[in-house]
Amino acid sequence: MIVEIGHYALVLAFALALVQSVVPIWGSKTRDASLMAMAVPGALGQFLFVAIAAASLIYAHVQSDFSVVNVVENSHSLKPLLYKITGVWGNHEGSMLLWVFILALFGALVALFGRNLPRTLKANVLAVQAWIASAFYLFILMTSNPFQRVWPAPMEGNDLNPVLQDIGLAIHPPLLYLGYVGFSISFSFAIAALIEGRIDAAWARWVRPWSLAAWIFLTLGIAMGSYWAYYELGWGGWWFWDPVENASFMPWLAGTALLHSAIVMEKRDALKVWTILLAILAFSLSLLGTFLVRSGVLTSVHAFATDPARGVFILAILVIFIGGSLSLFAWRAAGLTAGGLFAPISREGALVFNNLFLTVSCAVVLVGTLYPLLFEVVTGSKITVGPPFFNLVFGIFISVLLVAVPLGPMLAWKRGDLIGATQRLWGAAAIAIVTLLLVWWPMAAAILPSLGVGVAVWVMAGSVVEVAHRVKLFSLPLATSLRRALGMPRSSWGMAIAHFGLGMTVLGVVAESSWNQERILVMKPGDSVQIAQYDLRLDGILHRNGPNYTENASHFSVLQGGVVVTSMEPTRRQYQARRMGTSETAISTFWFSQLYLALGEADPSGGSAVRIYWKPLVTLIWLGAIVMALGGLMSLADRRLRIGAPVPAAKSDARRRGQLTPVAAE
Amino acid sequence: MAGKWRGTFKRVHRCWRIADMMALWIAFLVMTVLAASIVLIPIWRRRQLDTGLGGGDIAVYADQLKEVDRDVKLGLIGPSEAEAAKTEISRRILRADESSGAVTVNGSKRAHLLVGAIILLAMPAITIGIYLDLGSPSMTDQPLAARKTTALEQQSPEDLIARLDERLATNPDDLKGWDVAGPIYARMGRYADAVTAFQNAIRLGGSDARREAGLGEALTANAQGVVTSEARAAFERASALEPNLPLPKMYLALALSQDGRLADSVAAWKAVIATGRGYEPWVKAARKELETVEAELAKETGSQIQPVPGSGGASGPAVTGPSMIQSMVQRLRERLDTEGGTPEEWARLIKSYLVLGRTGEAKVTYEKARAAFETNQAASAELMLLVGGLDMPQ
Repeated sequence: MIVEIGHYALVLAFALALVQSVVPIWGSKTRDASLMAMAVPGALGQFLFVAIAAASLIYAHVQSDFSVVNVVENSHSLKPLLYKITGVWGNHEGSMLLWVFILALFGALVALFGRNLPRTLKANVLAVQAWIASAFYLFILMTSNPFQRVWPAPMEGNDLNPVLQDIGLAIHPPLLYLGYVGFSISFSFAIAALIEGRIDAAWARWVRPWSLAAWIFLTLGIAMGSYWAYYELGWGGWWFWDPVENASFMPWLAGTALLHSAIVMEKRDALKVWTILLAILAFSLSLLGTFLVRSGVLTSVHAFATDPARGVFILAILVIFIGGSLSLFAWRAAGLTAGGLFAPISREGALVFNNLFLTVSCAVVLVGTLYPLLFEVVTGSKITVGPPFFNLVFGIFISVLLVAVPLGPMLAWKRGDLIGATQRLWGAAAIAIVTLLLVWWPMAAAILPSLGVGVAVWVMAGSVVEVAHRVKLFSLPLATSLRRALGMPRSSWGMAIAHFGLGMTVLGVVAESSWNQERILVMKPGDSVQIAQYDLRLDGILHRNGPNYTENASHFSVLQGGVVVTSMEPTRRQYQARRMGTSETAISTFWFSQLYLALGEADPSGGSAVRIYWKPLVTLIWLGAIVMALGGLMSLADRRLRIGAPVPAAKSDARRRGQLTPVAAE
Repeated sequence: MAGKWRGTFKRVHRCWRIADMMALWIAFLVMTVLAASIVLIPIWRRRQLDTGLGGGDIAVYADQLKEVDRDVKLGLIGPSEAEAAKTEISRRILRADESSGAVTVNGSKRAHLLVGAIILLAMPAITIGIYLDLGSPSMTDQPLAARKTTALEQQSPEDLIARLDERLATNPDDLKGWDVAGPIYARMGRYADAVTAFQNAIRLGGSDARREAGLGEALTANAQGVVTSEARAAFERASALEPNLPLPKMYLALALSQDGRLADSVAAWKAVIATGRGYEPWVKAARKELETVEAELAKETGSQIQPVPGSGGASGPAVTGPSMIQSMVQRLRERLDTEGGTPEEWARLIKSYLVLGRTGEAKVTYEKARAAFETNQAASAELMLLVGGLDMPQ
């Protein structure tokens, strides 16, 4: 009964979404307050019923109700409870339900917290949100229904793919989807603005928290996915330029650009049309990402043919939403009023620079991801665009951007002073160059990685110097500086923290990819091997039984200078239901670096193949992402309204003469 | 008594199902009413609705002005910068004022009634229409734990058997499982599976009289009632392990008569009967069998010409006169003719005739079976599959 209630609730949510798609728009055309107001209960009702649907599917999974096809295909009665729950979104149907659940959640949040929105804007935003929702409900109900039943019910399920039976599945997809779907709000705001034909700085103020929240979740989601792939797949890699990864990275790049251009729009009433376009692009890329992954089209275009109904539906949704929104943009954008003016060398100019490089980088990833697909469609043969392409092309663009990161915040609004900004950053530059030389010369490292480390340190030091400069550290008494630091807007702190995090990630990436060490060998109990400054000794192999698997664990002792510092236990598991094996890695963290062990096949002679990696500073990659997200959170906590106070022309002349210490107004 | 309880249980269970269905549809009704009514609230309360534009741009700009003042107080921006910012914001306020000329209205009552009516009609229609197309309202939840703990009567035999099959497939070394499965498979007519089950039980738990006897019975049944040499060996082992057990001895006596050694068979039957006290059911059956064999023996010794043992069939096993197997076949035929049966039973009868060499009767039976399943496509297909493997004369 509960399963059927969930199914009915999902259909009811679809019906509500239909009402919400039509009535509020009509209301905004006729200026009818009652009809516009219907969007609010519509959005709340949708959320209620999708929540009921999601809860009942989770219930079915937890109870191992094998009369539900989705449960049979993805669950097993012996699976631990956590994986019974996470298994709900570990498959296509369930993950689509999670998608609409989050979509409805965001819709409900706009309905609840959008009290200060103009009536018509709110009605239109929620209506656009309902269009997206309707399309997804229909997609789920018609092609991917998780509530399908089977009779007679089997006594046991097929179990979840063992690779997915991990805590990572509990965290990664929800975070990623919160990010993807979060951009639907910016998208709906953009479309609503185009429909109304009116856009201003207040618009950016309303969109900011939504795109910021989406960006935070997406950042964490991508980082989590990367770490999950790192420890679960056992290849020691953390980013493969895999289409699935690219699919989540593209909206992130576009979303990052959106965050930056929205600042210009909010503070200076400029870059309006461009911001609208970015809002559309960020969500379009999210849609593309979701569907490219979900349809399986990335592995081969032929996957489309195996389930034509689903493939055609996906294609239709992409064409309607991406094509439709871009057409609407092309038609209405010309009518939007242009914004304020600014000089090329200014904070605005720096943010345009940022946007340019981010969008180009995003385009590079898009081309690299879709090119093999187009190639296959046109020529029928398969090619792959591998990491060398991405590393080179993406690397070049992003390096230029990274060098510029510390400069931007030093420039004043409207018209800035590049030389002054550079002078103020001499401290950061000095630290970066000293580090570069320290890495390059005594460690005899190659020049490129040394440069990479230099850039990373430059970005980190730059954000520290920026804060120091803003609170006038050393030029004012410490107490005054402290007071200024406390009074500094949280969004400024957020920016500094996020930029610092970016530097951390870059440092981790450079160090790991340049100086990682690897040993692959067959070891027998008693054997030892040396890597970096550690000796690893295989003590023995233990056999154990888990809830739905059996495993062989190899016990290693890690010695440094003859003293045991820690022990590690990589295992190989055999899952009974799917008759599949997995290799569970063992990872030990030493400061920011990690020792990484993965077991390969057992050798007939009683030994076992072992892969051992030493990964210097690797954790900085993810810690950096977490710091970036914290910066975002800090900025999100800034409930104040932000104004970009331009520096009057006369005064900036005086500044150029060196009369005053210039202040980059917040 | 048990049958009566079973009937009561089924009636109660059916009531429950109906109550379940009603509860489900009541839940649907409540949900639909809830959805329709919350979405219609703004129309209902149209008089209390604030028809202002809501928080607008101007509110945001006013806040921005206040913000500039605060920044000046904190010393974050200088007075001249604050002045420039204020000028710019004021300009925006003026612009916003011009563009927000339109106000909202409370639409006409008639339009609202129309919208309300459409929603009230269309929403349930769409929802129920789609749900009935996709959903399975008649299916209850079937949580695994509940399915496993419910009384056996509540579970379909298919479920139980499937569970047993699966358990044995995943744990081929489950002695208890095989011990339980053997008799169950035998009773279901899955004789080949029963043979496997008893063999596995013997492999894992060792030879004992009960398992060996079961194996012998299953082998016999799998050979259409003929006690094969393999079956005989099993019965002999059982008999050796537990000499007091009558069943193996009865089958061994039957084996003798099937071999045509009627005199030996009579002696064997008598010996079996002597071990009983006279009132046990099996003694009755044994006596009846003894009578048949004695009658046959009398007929045989009475006639001058000694027929070759096993002359009853052209190529079939040695059967003379109306032996046990013949009567079994006859009983099965009578039952199928009067009550009908499953495709498997019909196929068994046909197979028996073929084994006995009575091909004409096999053909007639096949025709009868096909006629019996004329209206049941699935059963007819199953019959054809079962018979297809046999060597049917054209």
